[in-house]
Amino acid sequence: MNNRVFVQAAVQTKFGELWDQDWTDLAQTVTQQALQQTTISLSQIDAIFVGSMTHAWVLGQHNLTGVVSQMLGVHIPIIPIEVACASGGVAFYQAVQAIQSGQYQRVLVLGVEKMADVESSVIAEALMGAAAFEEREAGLTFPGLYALIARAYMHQYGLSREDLAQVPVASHKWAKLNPLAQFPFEITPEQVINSSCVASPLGLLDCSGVSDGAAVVILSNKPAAVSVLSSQMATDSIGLMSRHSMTDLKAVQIAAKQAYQQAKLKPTDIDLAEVHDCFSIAQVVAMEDLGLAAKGKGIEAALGQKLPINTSGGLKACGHPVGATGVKQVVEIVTQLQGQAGARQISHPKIGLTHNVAGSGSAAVVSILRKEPG
Amino acid sequence: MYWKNPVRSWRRQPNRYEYLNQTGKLISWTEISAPPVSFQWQQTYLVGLIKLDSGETTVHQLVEVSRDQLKMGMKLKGVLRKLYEDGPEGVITYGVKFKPIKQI
Repeated sequence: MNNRVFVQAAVQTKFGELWDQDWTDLAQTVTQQALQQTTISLSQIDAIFVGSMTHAWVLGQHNLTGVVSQMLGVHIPIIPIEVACASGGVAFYQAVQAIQSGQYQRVLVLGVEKMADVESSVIAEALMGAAAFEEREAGLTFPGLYALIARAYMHQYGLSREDLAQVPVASHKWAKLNPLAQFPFEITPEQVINSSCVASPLGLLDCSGVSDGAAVVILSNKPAAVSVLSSQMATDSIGLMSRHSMTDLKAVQIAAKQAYQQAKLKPTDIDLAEVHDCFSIAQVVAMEDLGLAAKGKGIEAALGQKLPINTSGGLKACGHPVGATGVKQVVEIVTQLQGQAGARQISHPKIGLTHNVAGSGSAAVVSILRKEPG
Repeated sequence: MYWKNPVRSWRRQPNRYEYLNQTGKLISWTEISAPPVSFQWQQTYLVGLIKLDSGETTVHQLVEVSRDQLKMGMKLKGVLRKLYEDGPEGVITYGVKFKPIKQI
């Protein structure tokens, strides 16, 4: 029990509207790239955990176990995981558990999503499968659900529209330095405020886009440069209206507390974080739920004034292929801890955190990774 | 898209009107400008998060009010309205939306 877990490889594809690549193209490409990063061969992998959400709706494809088995020519356990936008994070969490428990020694975590083939109203309906029936029947969308959180937060804590608009601006500054980002260019607060309304008070530039992409992490119990100190998952009601508060996510608070405890660390020990900024307000709330800022004071931390946040560009600007996102967050932290982030490399990070959320907060995974000494 | 079946609508009948005539106050709201497929016939519409007098929080569309007239804390009441013309159940479906109690 409690075997240590190390990251042997961490790779993502370019995120964006990848018209020339299908789900299996993305999965195959990123898996081969990850295997080339390590001495572990495909035949040595004990199991594969696959995070993906919309394949059945968008592609008409169920049974990803068979799809991946045929694609790689393997007969090992392949476990698809669908937990909305936290599918990739939960796949990572499950893989960590499997190695810690001694069930497996070498595990591949694959996150893939193919979303851009259908128009935005169709993908909005597909994503709303992750919300409560009552929310769907009211005609809500995920931008709408986070808009409800945003208005309640702005009313309760006095956050201005101008301050909220700074959040995606900061994400785009990082994305400009990331060659794999979907939107690698800068934007201004005025552009955010004046962008077309999606669900008031949120405009188009407050929202993560529709993305294709994939990411892979290979984990094992064999020592490597980066280890996983903790990975914790917590859950909450599927409907926003059933929560105790509209301005925080309890699942994140629980997962974060347990992740810090397991890692024997405090929020002040974290050097950088990849957080789930599906909408600008989500990044502000995340800072508070992760213990990186006091309640109502999340905006400064969200803008990176305490520690670097979302050096990949985050969901907003790197892209949000939903099943790949939780795995990509780990890839970015590993890349930074190994000092391989190129133009966006921060100075000597030792501890990184990832935060992946399902729906409007029905599940959350918080993981903490460390650069091994020496 | 999944198979449209009116039996879903029939099965929900006992619960569909539980919010009719209930009152509460507005605790958050949004105007949806990019609706999902089933609501594109409405183009834009208001959705409110409502704290009912019973203590329960619920979410419904808001009617007989414009976005400029909405105020946090305003009192609302559940009324019967059409939800879909050709929605997931394949039948014209009625349910509850909320409107301001005071004449605007």
